[in-house]
Amino acid sequence: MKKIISLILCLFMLTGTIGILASCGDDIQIGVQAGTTGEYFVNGDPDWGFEGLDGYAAKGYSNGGLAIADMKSGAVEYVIIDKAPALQLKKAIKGIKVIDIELTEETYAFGVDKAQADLLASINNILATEQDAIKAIIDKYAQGKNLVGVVSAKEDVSNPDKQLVVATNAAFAPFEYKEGEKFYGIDIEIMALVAEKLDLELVIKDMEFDAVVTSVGKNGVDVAAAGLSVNEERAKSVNFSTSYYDAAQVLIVPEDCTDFDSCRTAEDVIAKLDELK
Amino acid sequence: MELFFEHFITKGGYKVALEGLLATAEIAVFGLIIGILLGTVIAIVRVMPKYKVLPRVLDVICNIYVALFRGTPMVVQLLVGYYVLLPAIGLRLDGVVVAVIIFGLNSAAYVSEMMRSGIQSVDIGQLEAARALGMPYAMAMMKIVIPQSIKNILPTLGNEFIVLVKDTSIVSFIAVVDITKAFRQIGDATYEYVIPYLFLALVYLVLVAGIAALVKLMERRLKKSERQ
Repeated sequence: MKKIISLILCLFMLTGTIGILASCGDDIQIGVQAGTTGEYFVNGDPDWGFEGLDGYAAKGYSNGGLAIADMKSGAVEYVIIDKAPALQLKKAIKGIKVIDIELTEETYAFGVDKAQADLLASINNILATEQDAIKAIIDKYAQGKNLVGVVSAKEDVSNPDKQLVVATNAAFAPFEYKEGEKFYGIDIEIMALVAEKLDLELVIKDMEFDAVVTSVGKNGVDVAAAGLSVNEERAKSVNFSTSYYDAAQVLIVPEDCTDFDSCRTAEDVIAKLDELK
Repeated sequence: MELFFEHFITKGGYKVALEGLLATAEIAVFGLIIGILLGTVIAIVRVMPKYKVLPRVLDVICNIYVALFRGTPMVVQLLVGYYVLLPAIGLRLDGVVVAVIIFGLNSAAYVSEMMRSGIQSVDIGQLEAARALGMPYAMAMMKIVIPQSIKNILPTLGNEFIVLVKDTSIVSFIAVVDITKAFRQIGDATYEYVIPYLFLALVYLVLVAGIAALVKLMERRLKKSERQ
């Protein structure tokens, strides 16, 4: 009996060691925000139409700031994240550089509960009629002036018809972030506008980004507003509104990295990454 | 550092932190209460003499329950409960309530095992004497055995409470803002995580030290009846 146990233990250790050895010298890590387009871009995903970056693997973080922190400590080589948050990160963190080349083309939209067709219609209607107001919101976040914080109403479980419950991940400035008890961001202010037009109380539920889309239609969540890129996979769980923002993924590198300085197009960047692996 | 205090004090981060602390306390305290009550019931079922069919059936059910809740991580239970089970039965509950229920159910599985060892640590003569005096089984359990066993397992119960307090850091998965989430939000807003996380660690440390002191106090009180 003892022999068998020790044999099994030996086998475990052996496989463990092989596993660790095999994972060394493997793919180069690129930091992304878990569940975002960047993750699919690096790893490849047929639903998104991404081939993936050969020789690279995405490492998912709960937000961009942590990914950058890990890039600085050397755990990941680069970070790929949406452009607007990347510029925001650049403003706040020293020692990083945003390669200003759009690697993807995508649009953001709100994900509405599939069971609420009328809510989808109302949101689309507001997005269409209030175009100027929405443009003004986007512009003022680009300048960082006159921002209006929104305090989430207390969720009232017994009165779901009087509230607009929005799922978000408030770690994605300038689209959604939190300062003290107030939520800020483009998505937040648009949702506040929607709630005002529909005469509803706005409840903001801050959760992990991975959970945002899945939560829609469950436990009273009506809409996902989290800089959501439109895609077929997500469209299986939510109905997308019309899009309100053109977005793209960009590469963030340490400041002293000059490898991508000569790149002009997305193809250049991808070719360069291929060369560096 | 200044950035942290700006967000924590001037911009009202402390209010979120206090609310988070309240949620953490609520979940841990009510979770432990449910855990102790349900855990005691399960423990009694498991030590009950099994001459009849009913106790045997109950024992099997309790065994499955304990295996289920001890065998899966609490995060998974939380996610399944909130995102799968509740929508499936069409019920809508507040996140904190769901967390309290799941923490209570999970804790019950662990407390039942502690309680069982506590009950078994009380000399069988105590139960026999109580029965010989004409007490029914349930009464002998509740009045004689359980009080003594609680005294025996108090340190481990204190431990369970501490574990629950620290485990509340997972409730942000179901969009509940607890103390961890409150400090993470400050980190997310400033892109500076060192100070908020160190501060958070300090808060937990103080919380746990407080609980440990409380448990010690209770232990000392309960020891008064003992012969020195």
